[in-house]
Amino acid sequence: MESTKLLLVLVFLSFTCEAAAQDPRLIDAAKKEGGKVIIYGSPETPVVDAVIQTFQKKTGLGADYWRASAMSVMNRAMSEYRAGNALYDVVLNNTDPLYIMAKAGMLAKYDSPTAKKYPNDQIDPYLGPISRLGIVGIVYNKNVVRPENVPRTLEDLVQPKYRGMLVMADPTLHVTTIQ
Amino acid sequence: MGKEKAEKFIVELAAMKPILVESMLPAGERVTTGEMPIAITFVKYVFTNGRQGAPLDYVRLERMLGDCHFAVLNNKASHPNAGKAFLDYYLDDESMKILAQNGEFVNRKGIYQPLPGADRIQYVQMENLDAKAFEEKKKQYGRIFLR
Repeated sequence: MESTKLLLVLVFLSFTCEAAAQDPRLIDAAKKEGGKVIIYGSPETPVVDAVIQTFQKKTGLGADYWRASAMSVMNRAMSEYRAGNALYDVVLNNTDPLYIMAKAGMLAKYDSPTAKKYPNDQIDPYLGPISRLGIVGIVYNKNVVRPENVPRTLEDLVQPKYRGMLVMADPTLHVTTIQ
Repeated sequence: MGKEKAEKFIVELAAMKPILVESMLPAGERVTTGEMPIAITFVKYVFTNGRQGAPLDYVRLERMLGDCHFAVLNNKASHPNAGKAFLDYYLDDESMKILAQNGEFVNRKGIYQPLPGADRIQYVQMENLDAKAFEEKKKQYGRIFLR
């Protein structure tokens, strides 16, 4: 009897969670407008493709993804928008380009039901929840850098022994590096 | 690192004449091939390129820099409902787990990417710049790095 009750509770919970995540009325409406979402973003294509695959399976909706660097995503999105021909529905990008787009009035505020799963201090009033983080650090090739030569801190990188050994994104071009 | 210390570090870093590439991705590629020994880049490449055999590791810094990412709807979207349906899915647990399995650092307690030590990484959020400040920084870094 107890196990039946538990099963019913679990079925109920899974149903309510599912309903909160994917609203069937929204999916029906999406199918009527063509059944496809166009996404521009900076995350690497294989990663977003993996998400799109399960999204398609779950909703029956299609998705096209165009990937470029954060700055290029912003530039293309803004050009299209200003020309009155914005092809994208969703943008996946980091803070600064999105703030610039928000300031230009290009973004819509959408209170997704799944946003409730994020703590309040992780939700930006204009951009919604922080979904992921680009963690920047020191990465090295173990075949080239001997253990005794591995830097321990950021400040170590400016020691003369590391001259000619470093690569980084151009801080005059790359959004995250400019920050 | 305070502001003054950070500015001094940037000048000293520029003096090291690092190779500058378009974005974090080619920086990750250069260190993966061994063409360059050390990169300042996304830590996730240690996992994503490592699972294809790249001999990469990362320095366990006390704190790293974290760049926040968002998923946002266009206010003139041709497919607003499809966009909303995607956002509902993208922000939810299943999608976050897929992102983490593929090496992304997601903002969900208990969901970590498989990189050793990923759950212990502490980060400081990067400074947010408006369009004017952004252009000023670009010019400033141009003077420091490209002279």
